[in-house]
Amino acid sequence: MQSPALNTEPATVEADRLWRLIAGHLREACILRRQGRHHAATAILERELPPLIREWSAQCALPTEEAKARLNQLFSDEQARVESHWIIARFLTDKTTPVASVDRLVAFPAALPGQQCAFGQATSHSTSAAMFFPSIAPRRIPIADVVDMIDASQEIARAAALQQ
Amino acid sequence: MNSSSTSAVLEETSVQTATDTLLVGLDLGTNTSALLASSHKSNDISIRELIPSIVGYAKDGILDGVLPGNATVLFGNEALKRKLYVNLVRPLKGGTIADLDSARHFARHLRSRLSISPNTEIRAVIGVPAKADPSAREALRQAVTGVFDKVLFIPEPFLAALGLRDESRLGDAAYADPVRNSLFIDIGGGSTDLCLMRGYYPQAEDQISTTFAGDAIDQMVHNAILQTYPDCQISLHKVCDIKERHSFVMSPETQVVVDLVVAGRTRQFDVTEQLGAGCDALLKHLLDLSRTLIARADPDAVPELLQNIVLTGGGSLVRGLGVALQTLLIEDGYENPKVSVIGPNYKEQVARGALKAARQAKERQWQTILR
Repeated sequence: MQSPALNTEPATVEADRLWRLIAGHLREACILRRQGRHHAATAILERELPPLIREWSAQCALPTEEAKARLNQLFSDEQARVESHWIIARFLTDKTTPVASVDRLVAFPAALPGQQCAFGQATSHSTSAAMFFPSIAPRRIPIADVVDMIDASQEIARAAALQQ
Repeated sequence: MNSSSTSAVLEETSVQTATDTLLVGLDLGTNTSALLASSHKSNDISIRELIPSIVGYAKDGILDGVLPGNATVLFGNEALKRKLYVNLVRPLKGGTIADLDSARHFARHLRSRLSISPNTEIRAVIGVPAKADPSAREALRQAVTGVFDKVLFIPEPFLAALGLRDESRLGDAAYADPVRNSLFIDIGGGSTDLCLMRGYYPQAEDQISTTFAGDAIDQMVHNAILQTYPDCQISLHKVCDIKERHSFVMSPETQVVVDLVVAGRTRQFDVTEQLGAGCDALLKHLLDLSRTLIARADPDAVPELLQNIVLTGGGSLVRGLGVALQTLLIEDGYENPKVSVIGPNYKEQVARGALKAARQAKERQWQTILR
């Protein structure tokens, strides 16, 4: 007979994996909503997240109330993170922002040392908003969503031009 | 307005004076360009052209009547047919503009293929390589300035997927949606691109690209032939022609014997080994790159993915390539892989996707180019 510890360990690993997936989806939905892509955000919130949350709830072995509280906290955290990055990005792309202020903001640790920024380039001293704001990085766009794909491809091209 | 752009590109603000709109799907390929056009009022494709992406400039001192209409510039097959009398220039290399002047001439030639009334607005969706940087896009923009009224540049992998998909059959249970979970291998002239298609627009980690493609094989075969037969005279164009007619992997159906010139006299040479070595090198590259990309796929998705490995591009027409890749994958331990080849229609795929995108693009997304 296996010990309880051996039985629960794979479930914990799986719960962690699902938690990371949920966080990623939530962040993506917040970004899409902030960009005004409500249709795409709703698709994630209504179609992609519920099965993940159900699966995580089954795997995490937490009491229902605690699981709910953790999910609410995650949602608030991700929303706050996106809002904060959004403001920074707007500030950096605003041509009226004094250069000195931009330089101070560039020192803001958007990515941890060694982490890659939105476009896979190592973070460097630059006034480009692209490296701070993940919304202009490639994101998941369904093949059938031609309009969203064109928007994304234009955003990427604009950001790349800004970086250059 | 795009602040980085040096050409005259404006967002949609102009007053509409056109009475009709022609939608164009354009794939500017390194070797061949595909042009499809259709009125926005109709689903029928009114213009469908495949044109070798090559411009021929008349050599100095050409006698009257040698070139049709004493033309100073020829395009596509016309230029290739008269290559002795013209300087051939390829406007693109590796999928991006390499020579802006010839690219402009070529774009104007493409425009001339569209028979339209004066008040027709031309809106073109043009494929760009996924890895095209801002300068590559800018060069393309400059090349088509004055050619089309409105443009949209969209990455080719997306257009290829869109072009291949048959939306009318999506409700059909027997239809395997080619972009739901598949591995696309596009072997072009300047690059070979592998892409995992998972139902959404491919991201950077879903793609691998190498410059080992058609042109590299031509060069390899060219070098091998000259090493074996140093006296023969053979151009890269001739090698490309031989490859397109006789290429094979694994083993040839018959020996490849071609006529080549030695000191002005035509002699026959067996180039089977040299051609086979070039094509086998491509196969080895494909196997290595496929392994890398399959390893990046979600393990749960791999069984279905292996059923949908799609070869496209000019290189996919190498005889036996699909079967050979499938065999090597099986020998490598992959379970029941299935490799399919799109066939000669591959050339229209990106342009077909571009035309579909043109139909769905929103007014705000088009960029107006000042004539």
